[in-house]
Amino acid sequence: MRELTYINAIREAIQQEMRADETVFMVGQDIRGGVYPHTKDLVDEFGEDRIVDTPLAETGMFGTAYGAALEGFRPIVDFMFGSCAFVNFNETSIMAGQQYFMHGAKHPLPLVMTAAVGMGKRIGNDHAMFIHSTFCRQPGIKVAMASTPYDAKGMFAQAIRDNNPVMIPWHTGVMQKREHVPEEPYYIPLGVADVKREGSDVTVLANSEQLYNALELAEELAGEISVEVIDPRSFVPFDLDTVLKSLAKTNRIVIVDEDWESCGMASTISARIVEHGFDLLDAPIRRVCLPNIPIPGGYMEDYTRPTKEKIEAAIRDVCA
Amino acid sequence: MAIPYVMPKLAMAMNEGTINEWLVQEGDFVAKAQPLASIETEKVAYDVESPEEGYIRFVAQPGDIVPCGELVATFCESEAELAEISAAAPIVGATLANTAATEDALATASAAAVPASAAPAPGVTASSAGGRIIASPLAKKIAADNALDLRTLAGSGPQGRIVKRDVLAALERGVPAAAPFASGAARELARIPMAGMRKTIAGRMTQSLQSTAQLSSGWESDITDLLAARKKFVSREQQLGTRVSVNAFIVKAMVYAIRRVPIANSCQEGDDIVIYDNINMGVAVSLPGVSEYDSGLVVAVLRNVERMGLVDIDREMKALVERVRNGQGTADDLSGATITLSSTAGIAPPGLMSTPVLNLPNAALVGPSTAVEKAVVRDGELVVRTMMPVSFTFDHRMLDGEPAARFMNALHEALENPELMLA
Repeated sequence: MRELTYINAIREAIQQEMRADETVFMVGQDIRGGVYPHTKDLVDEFGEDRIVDTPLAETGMFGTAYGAALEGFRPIVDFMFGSCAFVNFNETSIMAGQQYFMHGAKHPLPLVMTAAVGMGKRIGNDHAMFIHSTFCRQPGIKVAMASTPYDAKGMFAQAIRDNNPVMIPWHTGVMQKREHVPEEPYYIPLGVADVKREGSDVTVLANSEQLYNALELAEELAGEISVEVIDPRSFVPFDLDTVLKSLAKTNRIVIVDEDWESCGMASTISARIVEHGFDLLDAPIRRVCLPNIPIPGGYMEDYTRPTKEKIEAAIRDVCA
Repeated sequence: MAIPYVMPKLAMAMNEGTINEWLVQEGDFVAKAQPLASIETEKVAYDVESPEEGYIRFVAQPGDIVPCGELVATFCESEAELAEISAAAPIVGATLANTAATEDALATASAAAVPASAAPAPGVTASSAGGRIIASPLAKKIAADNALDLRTLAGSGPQGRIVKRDVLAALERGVPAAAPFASGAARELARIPMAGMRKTIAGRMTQSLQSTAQLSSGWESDITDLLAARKKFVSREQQLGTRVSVNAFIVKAMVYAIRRVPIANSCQEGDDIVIYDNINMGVAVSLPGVSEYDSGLVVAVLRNVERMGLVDIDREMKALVERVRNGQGTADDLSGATITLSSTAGIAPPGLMSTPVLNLPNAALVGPSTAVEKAVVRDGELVVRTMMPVSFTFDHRMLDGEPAARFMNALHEALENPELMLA
């Protein structure tokens, strides 16, 4: 069976959608050369009009996509690194999401924003910063992150076909993950979580590189604690039903999120669980997040981000 | 974060305690398990070990009487926090028990503050603080769905939290659901919650009468000679160190009878009848209730009475009853009976028998009543003898009439011929 890396699964989704729909184009910095391989050589197939390089001017770069989307195109904006999407925060976070609602539902804004995020490569605060929680807070924007190559292809393709602005960053810690990815196009709906491993004692919600930590832990603890691992895959819309269904079985949950702890997605999920699943809980919800500090340089990353040890401690805590 | 330390509930009947003495200095760093305070209940003073560590700030002062569950001290993580807290709340004696922010922490402290030697007694929950029950949402829901009163449970979760497994275990044990009070137009004199010990008694009695095939038979024994024998002991009270009671003789007589009919000393365990070699004598002890109108009852357990002489039985039984009455009964003092002795002297009028309820899971219970002098015929002559009625309640599922009669006969023989107790 054919295997693809995560990063090449994204490339294949973009390539297939660009072949299928000529209104799809890509705009970003150095995407013709390709800092990361998901845009490698796409310019050879689709030409410079559809693989558009811009100067270091995020507002103009995003403005190009925004205007084109209003005119019926389906642009993909590549910010290279997540925090660059904050340069023009007003346009990316506020105007994009609210456009459709503020203007009488006349002009949908079908655009995709993507960028690399993630700690672990020791590339410093600006390059490692997570952005999904910040975008989750903005109404009108769908936010998702794929954890596996298979999900990456299906979710990117779906994001391109979605009529809303979709922020779909990807984690540098999983870009080299490799698994079977079908060649033919397929689509994974946004808003559907995936139970990656079944268990009965505790539910662990984890995404991207933390999903792999959770799965390894589940394997290590098997026989002692039965861990169910769920990848939410999509944060907006969020698949609360799958989480509650799991919680009905396990009665305990640990939420792992590499984004900042404060007002983050883990907090929102916790609140929703308490609102809708209070009676299912046999122990307090535990979150394992990045503390509310800037991501430190170098090896200090390891002391701040969620780790297997921290997740295990949280699991043991809720199972006490 | 500062950890509140509340007046621990050191014994079942303890509602408040006096801080006799702090065994550390204010502001000291106190280690876990370090002797912290001498706390006095009505009759006994305990040296309580510290359940936490930290810099201590006193809220209650020596001499203060504090209800169980109310704040007496605070453990601070650092000296800075100690200073901060001292500055923020300078009023000595202030209690935080009613502020929501400390509720959880209070529960933490109260659950942890049980001295190592005193395991919580049955019917006492370790999971409440200031009346609030600390239970997980799921535990609360399962309990509500099954009409189970959480106040009767002790939590096994972190900080004594009642969690799902505790509720499921209680349901499995078959603790009965609380019955609603009938409300009417009548004026209330008092309202006594069916909680704690009351709840336990209610549950056990109902279970006993509903789940066994128990019946009582009556016997009357001539204890004139027994009383004469006892007199010899009583006259030597100084040497023996105790005034040997009639009850001690009855225990001894029961040991004699059990040795002849061992199945009377048995318990139901699942699908088995387990006959015991050693004899743990359950002794019914009445206790004061929560108000002036009600009462309490526990079965205290005197272990291995078959190894004891009359004097030891008497001394140990009195010490046990005193411990239990003072609320210092440990879990060992209050569980594990293999047969029960329940004096029904207060229920049946002198000379008449009653039908005591079996103490589960025991197969048998002996209930002597008050002895009276009676005219009886001996060798064709009318004589005055002291006659004691004795009830014998037994579970017919485990014990048939024949062994029951043999047991009562042996007991009767020993009561009428006290020298047999030497056997």
